[in-house]
Amino acid sequence: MTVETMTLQGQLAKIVGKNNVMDSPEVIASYGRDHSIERPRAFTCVVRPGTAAETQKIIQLANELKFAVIPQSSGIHFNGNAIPKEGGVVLDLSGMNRITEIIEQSMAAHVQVGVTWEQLQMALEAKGLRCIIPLLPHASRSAIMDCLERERPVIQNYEASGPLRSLQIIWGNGELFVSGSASTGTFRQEGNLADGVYASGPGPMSYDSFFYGAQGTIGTVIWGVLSLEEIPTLSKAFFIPSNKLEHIIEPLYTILRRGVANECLVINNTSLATIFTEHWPEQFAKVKAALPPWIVIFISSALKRRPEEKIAYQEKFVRELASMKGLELLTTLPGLPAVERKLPEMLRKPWPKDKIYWKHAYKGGCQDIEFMTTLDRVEKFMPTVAEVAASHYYPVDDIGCYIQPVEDGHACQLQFSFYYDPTDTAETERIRHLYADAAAALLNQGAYFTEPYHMVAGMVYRKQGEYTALLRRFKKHFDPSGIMSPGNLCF
Amino acid sequence: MAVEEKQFSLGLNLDDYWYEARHCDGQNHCRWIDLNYVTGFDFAWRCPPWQKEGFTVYGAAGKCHLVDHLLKGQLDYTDPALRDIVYECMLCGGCDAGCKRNMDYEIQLMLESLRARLVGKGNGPMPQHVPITNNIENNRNYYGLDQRHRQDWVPQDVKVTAGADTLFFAGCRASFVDNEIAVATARILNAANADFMMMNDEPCCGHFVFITGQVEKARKIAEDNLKAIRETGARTVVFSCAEGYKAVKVDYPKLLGLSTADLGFEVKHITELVSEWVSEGKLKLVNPINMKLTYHDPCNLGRLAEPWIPWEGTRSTNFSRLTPPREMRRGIYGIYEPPRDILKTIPGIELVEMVRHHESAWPSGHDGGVKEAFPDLASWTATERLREAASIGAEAIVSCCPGCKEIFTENSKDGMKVYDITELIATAIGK
Amino acid sequence: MKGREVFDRIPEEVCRELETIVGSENITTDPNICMSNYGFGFGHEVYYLHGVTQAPGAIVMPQTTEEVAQIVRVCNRYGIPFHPYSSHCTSPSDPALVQNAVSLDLKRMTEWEIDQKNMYAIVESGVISAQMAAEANKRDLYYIVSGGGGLTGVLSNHLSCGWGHFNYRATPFSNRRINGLEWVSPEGEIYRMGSLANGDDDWYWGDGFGPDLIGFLKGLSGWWGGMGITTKMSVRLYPFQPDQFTPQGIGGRTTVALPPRVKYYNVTFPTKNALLKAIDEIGKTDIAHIVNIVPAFWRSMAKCAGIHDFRNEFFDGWDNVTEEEVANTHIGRFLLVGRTSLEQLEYEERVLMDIVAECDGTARKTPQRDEATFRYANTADMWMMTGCFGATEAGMESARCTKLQNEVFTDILYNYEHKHDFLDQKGEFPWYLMWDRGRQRYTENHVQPDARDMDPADPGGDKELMGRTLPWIVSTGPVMNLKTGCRGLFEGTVSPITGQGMAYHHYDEWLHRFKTEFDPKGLSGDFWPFANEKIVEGAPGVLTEEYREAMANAEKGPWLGNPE
Repeated sequence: MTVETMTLQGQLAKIVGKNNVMDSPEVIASYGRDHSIERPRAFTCVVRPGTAAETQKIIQLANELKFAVIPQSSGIHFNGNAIPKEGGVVLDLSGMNRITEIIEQSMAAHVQVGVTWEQLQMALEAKGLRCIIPLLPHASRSAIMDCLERERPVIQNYEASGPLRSLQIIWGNGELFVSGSASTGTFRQEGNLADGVYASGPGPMSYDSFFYGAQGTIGTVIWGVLSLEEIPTLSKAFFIPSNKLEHIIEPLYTILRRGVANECLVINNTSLATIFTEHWPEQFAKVKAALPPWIVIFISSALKRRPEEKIAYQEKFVRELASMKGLELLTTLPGLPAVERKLPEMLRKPWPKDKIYWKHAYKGGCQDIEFMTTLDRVEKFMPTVAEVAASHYYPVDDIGCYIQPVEDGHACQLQFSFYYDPTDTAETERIRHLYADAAAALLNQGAYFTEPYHMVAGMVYRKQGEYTALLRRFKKHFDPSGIMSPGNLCF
Repeated sequence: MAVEEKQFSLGLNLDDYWYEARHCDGQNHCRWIDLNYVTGFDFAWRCPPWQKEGFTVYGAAGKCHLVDHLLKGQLDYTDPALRDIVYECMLCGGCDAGCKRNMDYEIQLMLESLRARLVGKGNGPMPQHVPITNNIENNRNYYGLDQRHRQDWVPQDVKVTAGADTLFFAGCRASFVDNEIAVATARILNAANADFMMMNDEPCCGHFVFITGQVEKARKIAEDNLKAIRETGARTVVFSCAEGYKAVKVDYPKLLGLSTADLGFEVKHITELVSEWVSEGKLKLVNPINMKLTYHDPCNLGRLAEPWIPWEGTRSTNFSRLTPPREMRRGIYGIYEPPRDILKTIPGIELVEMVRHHESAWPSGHDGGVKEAFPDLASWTATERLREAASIGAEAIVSCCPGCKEIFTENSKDGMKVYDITELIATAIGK
Repeated sequence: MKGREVFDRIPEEVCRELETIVGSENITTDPNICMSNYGFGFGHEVYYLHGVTQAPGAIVMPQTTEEVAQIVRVCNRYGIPFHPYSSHCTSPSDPALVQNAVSLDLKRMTEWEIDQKNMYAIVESGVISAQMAAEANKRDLYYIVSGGGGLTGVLSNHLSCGWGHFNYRATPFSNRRINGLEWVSPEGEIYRMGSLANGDDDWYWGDGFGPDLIGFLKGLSGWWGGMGITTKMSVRLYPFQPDQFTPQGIGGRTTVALPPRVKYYNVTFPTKNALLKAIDEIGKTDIAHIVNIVPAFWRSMAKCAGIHDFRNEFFDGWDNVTEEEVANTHIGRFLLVGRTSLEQLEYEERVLMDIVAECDGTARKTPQRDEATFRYANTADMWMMTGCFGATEAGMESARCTKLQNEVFTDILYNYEHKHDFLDQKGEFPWYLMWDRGRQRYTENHVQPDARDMDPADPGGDKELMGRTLPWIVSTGPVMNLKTGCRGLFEGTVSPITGQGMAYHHYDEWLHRFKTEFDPKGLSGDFWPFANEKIVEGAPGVLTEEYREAMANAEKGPWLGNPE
């Protein structure tokens, strides 16, 4: 059989071995769907490279034969971006899951794209280190991909929102590249002591920036350098309950500004209850009822040196602030026994693999809608979402809400969660319509969708025609054949 | 290593400033005030023509490059457009002080020499400067008025003592136009029992002639005036005009190859004397003046007023070091504190400081021949300064120079009062 | 039109169109003005003195983004190169490499606004860092004045270098400190990036709709005018403490007095290793806002009172400092800020002193004032010593890599047979700052020749020195970078990109692709960022054999970048 007559699967098998090319109906069904409201799709096959060289050859072949390539780095996806929209081949990178090196002196880990949060966390914990991690991510999610999808870290101080540094990349045109300080040609050769901790460059461009929010449309990442934190020696959790969001926004600005919070989030009782309910479904309502409508949670942390003194001055400050502002400052939460001990530990790790993922625990499915804004604008979006939900007969009281401040309060991510039963087709369809209407309403109000998933992408890019046209000019260089995840973003 | 340069002296030969011109790398300290004193977006500039006109050539950094090209013969000294650029500058010394914060470039001298070069090539001064120069040459005063009436301002009750150790040099403006300053100064001197004399035929100090680049004429005026002052036997010459003060203290020695110390007499501004007298108890400032005011540092009393120190030498092979080392005039030891000390002593005065003060002071706009040749720039500059005074809540602006007072008065709107310090001192001592 | 009208460089019809856009007061073709308009910034010794930069044919001063776009479109229509500058201060500020280009002087664009609550500032091109720093300080915020100093433009600095002492707690990747911007493409289209693309009031966040395009305009360095003109930008400010700095002093020694919750510590250590260990230990805590080592000759500079000329004062002091003294003096400089409260400052001081004691250090009496950090940065004195500021390389990477880079440079300089061409640094360890809360270090390696010797037009200059110094400056840095892995910053400004691209995955090809995409006529900033290629063209010897070999070997690998 000649190359010309060989099937695509055959050609791929020549690169990765036939065991790493899969196209059974079960595999297609599994890879062609995810936990989002995106409809399942069919495609040609799954290919699993084990090395950068193999990955590069696949993409080069795709350029030659013009088939679509949809990178996936873990089996867990929530936003539909890893589902092939126009057929093609799923590039399963989960097998490239080596933690190459943990460089303690540089507080950096050199990891392949398939490394999961769980894997990374376990390796780091042994060294007294921790990941810069979003809110309770799925244990099997790729750490690098969550960074590139801009899952905002719960550690909100410093510049933690950018833990990813140098990257090895294969562009959509099949060229290999390394961005950041690891781009040095002598990287890891004898004498070269670089750790790849610098993200930008080489030269006048930050190549990594094109991968953020790209949803696989620009190329694929093979490995990356992740910045780490130390596990604190001492932590103390604080909670500020409130019936009204407006009462906690101003004090929250102060808390963030004065640097007393390491992890910090604002969450409503629905979302918090989904995290802390142990026994489903009977316990959920009770847990939720015991919680105030809104809770600011922040953790003061200290490292090795004089930890008690650090916590002491931070606590003194927040107590004075609470007193001045007439806020209730708690060190525990009613209805959540020992939450103050559990929470710091929980927030540093992914969700335990042996438990149903917290977002799915309530009804089996959850569709999030999230965007960037500033803390002082958060309130204006609440009635909008409530109104849209009500118009779709979705109980307002069931909406989860989570506000993640970013970098000392420079901005925040606002996330609404709509829980639903994915096995119920009608309900799923209703959520789909709710999502679309909510996104449109929020977009009109100025919500900034940095990760435009699903139909939000269409809304955003139609509205921002000039930006869309500009993005396409870049795309045609990074992916001239248009093979990388077609159907995502505006491509 | 570079070869040793030929000897050169600090003077008014533009060729001697090739190093400044060539090696200015445009850091722009000549454009912005001392950065540690910047308080925000407003009032951060130090160079009015550069700020108003915008093009870099209007600032010292641009002028350095201009001189570089002129010295290399790439631009034409006789170009009228060049003349307009060169003269649209107050020679306020702000750029010189700014640059000298970190470097040793003689920017002010380079700019003075540039004007001198243009005049030497027949392309200066500005046409508007010519009649005034004629006035000074022919009538011995700026205004071209009858010099016999120069001392008509002297009140009957003011005691002038022939042969006194102190010579009061009133200046053209105070003598002919703003008599209050001259009268106030005279009364202050009397009140301190400081006998003073005056010249029979007090000439124009020649500052205008010098500042407009007419060096040869200025040199003649300097020679004649210095001779005349020496002939009075005065041991101290006191000014209430900053321009005259600087002309005699700094520019006469510069023009004549002397040092300030060689003049043979001390040059003082009235504020220096009053400040001493107040601290000695010889003068009591007792009458209150209830006012919130700010003090404007005149360039010629502040950063341009340090004594002239001649220098001659070379740049060595050793990283172009000046050999011998040069004692630098950076503008930081001008007369800044005496006027402030005086104002703080007067009861009722609340003294507030503008953003740009001391060696970073914004000029009034009066000097350099700008008021005569570029009245819009002069007026804009003064207005900016008044705006700065208003921004700190001052009711009045006080200076030590009739020229500053004149231009502020002409441009003051919105009720900002303008004073010369002598008027306030005279009021405070009950004169 | 301002000044003399001259149309032998740029056609009259072009000038009239430009005049219509900006008004007659804001355009000139006068050679007196145009020829005075170039030769500024760090590139003075290399570009200006060697005739690489050229006088513009016209200078225009627009005031709005729309005017900038119109000017760019006119230039495109007539095929006239153009280049922008803002503060006209540091780095290659006037990068015209061809005759008769149009210079866009952006100093009239001075709009600004600060959102104190959400900690960002919106600025146009004409605002400088010292202004921004002062306004930030009034609002319980700080702004990172870069090493280039307070005179640099806020906007342009974020797109060129964008790092300074204060990057201990705020990312040195300045593209990540940009929340939004307005960009006029080389063809004159106006684009908005960051959250600004979402709406007129949305200046608060830099991520894109999907991919982040701000990263296109700023990497390790920038395009230096070679990729259109950014006219307006939102930059991040950082939480500080509420009290003000108080300016004090006169002349060359003005300083700002530190407020009560800000405190500097100069600490002496017995050995370099002890100092570096202390720095490493600080990186493992969560204290400090600035952590650095100031090279000895910079400390000597700071002592110059200015009564005589600074240069003599400096050398009088420095000439008497021995190599032994330098080798045995190890001073760390640390800034603590009580952002939360005075108790925080006190806590941090105790932690710092614990580390100092463990590393056998001695805290010196430290004046609580600062000349440079908060406003001036390097520009206070950098040209003072020899008239020439010649950075060979600057870079950032891990602690071990940066330390190695410094050691390699110190060794190279010390053993360089012509080292007396330069200021004798006496074996001093170069600049060393800790950034990113311990994850990165930054270094700058300088050589300072006599400015006269770098000037080919100076009959007294030493031509041989210049002949061997240029190659040294251009080639040494990149070779060191490949040896040590330290990521250099001066591609495009000191060393050519094209010659190095092969050692970094041929990134220059990407630059060429995008340059062709967005600037097909090659009018924006002429050849920038490939200006150094012009120098190499004229003087191929500046790229040494060692340089060429190092690049070629790096391309061959093996390297981690090669597919396994």
